[in-house]
Amino acid sequence: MKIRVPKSAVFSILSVLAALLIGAVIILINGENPVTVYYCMIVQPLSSVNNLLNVFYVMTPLMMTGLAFIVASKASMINLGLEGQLLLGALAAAWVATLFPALPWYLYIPLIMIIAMVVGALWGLLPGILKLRFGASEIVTTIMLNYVAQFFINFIISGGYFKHPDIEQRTPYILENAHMASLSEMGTAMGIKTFRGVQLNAMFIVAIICVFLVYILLEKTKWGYKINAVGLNLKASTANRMSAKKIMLCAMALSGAIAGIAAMGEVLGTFNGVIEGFSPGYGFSGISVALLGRSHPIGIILGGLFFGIMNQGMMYINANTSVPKDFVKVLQTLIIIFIVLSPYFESKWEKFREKSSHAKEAKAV
Amino acid sequence: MKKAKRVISVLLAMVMIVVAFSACTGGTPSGSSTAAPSGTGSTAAPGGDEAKKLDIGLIYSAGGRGDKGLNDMMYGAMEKVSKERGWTYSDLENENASNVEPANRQFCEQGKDVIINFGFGCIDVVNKLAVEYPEITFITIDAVTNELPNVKNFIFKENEGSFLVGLVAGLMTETNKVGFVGGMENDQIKGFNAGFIDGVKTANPDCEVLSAYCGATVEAFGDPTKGKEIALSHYDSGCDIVYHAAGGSGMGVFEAAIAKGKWAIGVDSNQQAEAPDNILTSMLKQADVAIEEALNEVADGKFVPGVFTYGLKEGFVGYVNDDTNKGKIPDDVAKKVDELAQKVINGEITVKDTLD
Repeated sequence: MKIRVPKSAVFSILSVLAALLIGAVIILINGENPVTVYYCMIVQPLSSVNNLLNVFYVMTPLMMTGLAFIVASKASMINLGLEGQLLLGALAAAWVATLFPALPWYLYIPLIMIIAMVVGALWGLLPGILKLRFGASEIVTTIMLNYVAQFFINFIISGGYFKHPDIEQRTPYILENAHMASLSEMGTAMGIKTFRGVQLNAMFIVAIICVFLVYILLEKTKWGYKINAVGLNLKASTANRMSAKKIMLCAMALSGAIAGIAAMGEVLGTFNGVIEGFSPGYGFSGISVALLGRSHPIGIILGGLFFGIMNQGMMYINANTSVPKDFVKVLQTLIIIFIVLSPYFESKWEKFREKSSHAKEAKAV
Repeated sequence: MKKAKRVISVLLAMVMIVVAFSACTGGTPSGSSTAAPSGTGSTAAPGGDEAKKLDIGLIYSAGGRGDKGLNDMMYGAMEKVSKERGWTYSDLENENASNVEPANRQFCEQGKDVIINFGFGCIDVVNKLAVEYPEITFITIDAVTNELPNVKNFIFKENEGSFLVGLVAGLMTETNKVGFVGGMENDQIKGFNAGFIDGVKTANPDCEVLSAYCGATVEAFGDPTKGKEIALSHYDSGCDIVYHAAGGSGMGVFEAAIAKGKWAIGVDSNQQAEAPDNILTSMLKQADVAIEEALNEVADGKFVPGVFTYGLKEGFVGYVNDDTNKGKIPDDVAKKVDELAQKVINGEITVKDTLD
């Protein structure tokens, strides 16, 4: 297999560079040195093995939500409800994780994940059904269902139905046998200090496996072919006696299921339950990651990595410079703006190439 | 395909708006201007060398800098000790629950001597890290953690301070109606409310108190728009004095007071400067004094761990009646308030700390 950089990747990289350039101007206006700020943002998160492992930790939920987004978008469904699916999956997991103290972890954690996936899938199916049955735009319904999910969680926790007895805004601690230990905790248990401070847990591996499973599903299986067919041309695929509706619903369910377990590393690992507002918008960042990754599973890993580095770098910027940490969000938004613009430049580039090749042909003639 | 692209670009525009919007409201409500000074500690001034020079890490609570309350108070305390004692400090903002642990860990890795957290959001993290890093001292405000030899918790009886401003409001209201604007609807803020109502009713049993909260999550401490909305509705329904315990959302309460030409009461620190003509007084919670005390203990090697509850008796809560709000509180009102405050100190009056 030849390794070649796909054209879309080139435009992603150019988008990032353009955003960094504009960001540099913003930093200069703020009276700081862009080199220092970018050093903090990009180099420091990678400056040690432990920092890199923490980047992996931060990118895990972003990879998962990005993946969930592309699964739906391949079937021409725009799932903006990832945040809600993620939150409800997290809540369900936090609840199940307090129920069975006798279950061994190797059965318990998969069980929790399956339940979180089911809840996420159901929440993802809802806008799918609304669209296919009543023609309600899934773009609108998914966004609105995010609020429903979020306020439902606040209601459940702050309303006292499922709340830690002493600490506010969080659910009770999950059971010991449902806990995903971080590298730091494993190290402490074994008396090693090497990984002190590393929050990474097994969820990262789960996420990587999910990426490859989805890649195989979309690219190598009949089912994936159907999803792609529906996404590319709805009318033609219906005429081909494919059950387009069924496929769209399945894609939404799968998308919701992936989003449902996106935050398991946080829920079962870091927080040992759900804290209100624990997600800094993983669902929406996931969309950005999917766009940066050009809706390709492998691109998701790279896009997630870059966003993970930036999110970790945000802390170093905050600690070492006078640039507010919101700068990173500005930068991420700029990247998305450029990616949205890039089809325009791509078509220009195509035309330019056509023209020049025509010119060559004309000369040859 | 072209259509799909158009749909996607519309969609992306929406995503961008959402992202931009969350960037505006999610983190520091004050925007970049106030966040700017947060950086590595100031250049160390030559200070006394009799005690240990401390390197301090401060993590702001969800409301963030610019709330003119606890967050800014802590910043002021850090500036003060760094100037007076030559100690160094770094500060970090935490925009949401998922940031608390990384921020603390970063300070741990940097080998800070003391890490200061406040708000209940830090409880889990401090419980975990204080065990992992026994050499670091953790100080928390408004949060009770596990009992550990390197952790000190400060709790303040805000209900007692609120009681005093409640007395002022009850004695001074002309409409017999006063208002309360809370931040997040949790036990702590309900305690403010309970003390305030208790004070108002003690001074003026006929006075009605309208209470409302900005929300059910920590974001409610950084939402001035909501604060203003609630305060305006309080004023419109006849309140002439509104007390807030809403962190950064309180800025909106002051705006409403200015717009309506009515009184507002500040919280945590002396907020007089925010609306000089419209702030009657402020409830004081001198967390900065407590922190300085604790830091001195650490520097002198006399650190005492445990939970410390400070109220009126210990002199850590109170209300403002000095040159900054001169002439606003009549002498007879001040006299009455001081009288009742003394009773609270003597234990003759127990101020309610929960709503019933």
